[in-house]
Amino acid sequence: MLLVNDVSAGYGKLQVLYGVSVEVGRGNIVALLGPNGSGKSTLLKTVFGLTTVYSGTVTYNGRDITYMPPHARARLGIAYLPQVGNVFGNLTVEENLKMAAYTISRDTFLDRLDKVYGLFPILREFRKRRAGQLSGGQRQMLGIAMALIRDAKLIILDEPTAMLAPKAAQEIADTIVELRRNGITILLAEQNAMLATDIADRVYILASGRVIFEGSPGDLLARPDLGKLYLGLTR
Amino acid sequence: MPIVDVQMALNAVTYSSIVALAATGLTTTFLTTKVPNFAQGSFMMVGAYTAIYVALKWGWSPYAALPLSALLGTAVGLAVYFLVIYPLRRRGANIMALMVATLAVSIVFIGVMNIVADVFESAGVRSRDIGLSFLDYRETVGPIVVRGVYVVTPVFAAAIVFALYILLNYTKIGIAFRATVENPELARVMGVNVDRVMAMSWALSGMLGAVSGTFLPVFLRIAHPNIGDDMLPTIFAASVVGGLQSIYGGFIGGYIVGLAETIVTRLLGEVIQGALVYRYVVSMAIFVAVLVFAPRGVIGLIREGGRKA
Ligand SMILES: Nc1ncnc2c1ncn2[C@@H]1O[C@H](COP(=O)(O)OP(=O)(O)OP(=O)(O)O)[C@@H](O)[C@H]1O
Ligand SMILES: [Mg+2]
Repeated sequence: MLLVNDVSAGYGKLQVLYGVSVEVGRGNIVALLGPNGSGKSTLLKTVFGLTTVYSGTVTYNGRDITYMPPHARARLGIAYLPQVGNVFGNLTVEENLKMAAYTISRDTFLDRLDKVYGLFPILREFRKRRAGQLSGGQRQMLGIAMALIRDAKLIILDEPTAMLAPKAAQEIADTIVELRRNGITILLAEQNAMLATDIADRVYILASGRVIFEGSPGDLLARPDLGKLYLGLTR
Repeated sequence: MPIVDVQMALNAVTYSSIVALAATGLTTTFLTTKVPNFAQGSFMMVGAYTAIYVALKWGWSPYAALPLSALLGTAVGLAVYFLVIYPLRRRGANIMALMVATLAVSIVFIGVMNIVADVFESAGVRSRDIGLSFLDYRETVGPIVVRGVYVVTPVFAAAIVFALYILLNYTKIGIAFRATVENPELARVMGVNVDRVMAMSWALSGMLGAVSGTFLPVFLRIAHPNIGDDMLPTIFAASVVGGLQSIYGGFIGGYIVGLAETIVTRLLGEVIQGALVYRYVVSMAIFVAVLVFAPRGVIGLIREGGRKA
């Protein structure tokens, strides 16, 4: 569904990614792991069109989208949840969702709002509350709900469980698995390697802007050297 | 005689309403494009001279100039955005460059307004040192003179702020405005046309400046082509005092600074007999005090207080 082919990208003159290739199959959960600063966020931003691409291609459903502007990708069904600043703190929960559905008709919006509230009942309860007053976990749920309400086919999540208590992180993980069951494809960056290997179909490890491992979660767990070196796994 | 009499209170509230409208415009464009707009006074002059023309040439009530003022103000606001702000921002101009650019616009405008005044004069419309208060409705109640402008201006200002509230909270474009103010990057990711929101804020600011300016020649005894720029220190003080992080900051600050300016100036005038009291001293003193002691303005104080509670 999504093919990142030999991409070198960065920010202006600052190159971060060096010939990165990643493949995301339809209905899969693909996790990007790697140390801080290894380029996970940069790769996700590249898929959404927020970086400078020097070479290589990004194809989505067979279509070259390497240089397509972000809002056009949004229209193709790609949704992106940034790592930080992914909700409007001064807007209420419902206003945030309304903004996420900015390009959608009112009827479709109300319909999907209902579904999203079904998935996250806490958001319905707090719909009049300012997003800035939500807890970290609730804010992540809102962020994911904002990606969902656009009826995305491919959802890009940058560390959706960052800074969450284990229980809240597990809830988010369950939600992601639930999304896959509904046929949605997910590409995510994670610090929590245990959680990622738990839910992902395929795992990539980035280091210094290069892919140093790709394979199934089982393959990764069979490589304790990698786990120790890059992921803090001691098992 | 009491220190604050009814007549003075009426004057103070009316003056404050004029300041509040213009300052709301100033805050609006600061929120979206982060430019302290020195051309805000120019927007007021557009309104003032529309009122003068409509009243003296067409013989209408100066209040009848409000729709035309609003329209012209909107057009001028959009023109400043598209001809000056947008191209500069695209080239990555910093706040200093943008600020100086609006200063240049305001200087050009003083020239333009002087030409407009000359053209009006040659068309038989008195345009220099002219007031329209003689055209206003007035009634003497005991010792107090009640003027139409005392009622129309505050009511109009209240209606505008109510309309703004509705716009910002109950319309999609209004919510997009608040989203853009908070995080333009994220708004863009959501598919909001951020440039359009910014253009809209300049249109709104031009409109607010012009309607505010429409009341000036009716309220003051004399108006002249620099009248808007004379208001600039007061308007800037109002925006900062109210708090630049909320669109309502300009409105609240307008009343604080406007009332203080009128009342304190009067008090000083009575203490220092015969001394000329320069009214900007008051607004600038509040301005500096707020910058030092409460840089987030009154709205900031209210919010911080609310958080502690
Ligand atoms: N907006 C930016 N402009 C310039 N350089 C950036 C920008 N964002 C990130 N970088 C740089 O790119 C490199 C990779 O950053 P990136 O955010 O992709 O890492 P990451 O793998 O997501 O790290 P983390 O796990 O800490 O989120 C870092 O060296 C960082 O300093
Ligand atoms: Mg990151």
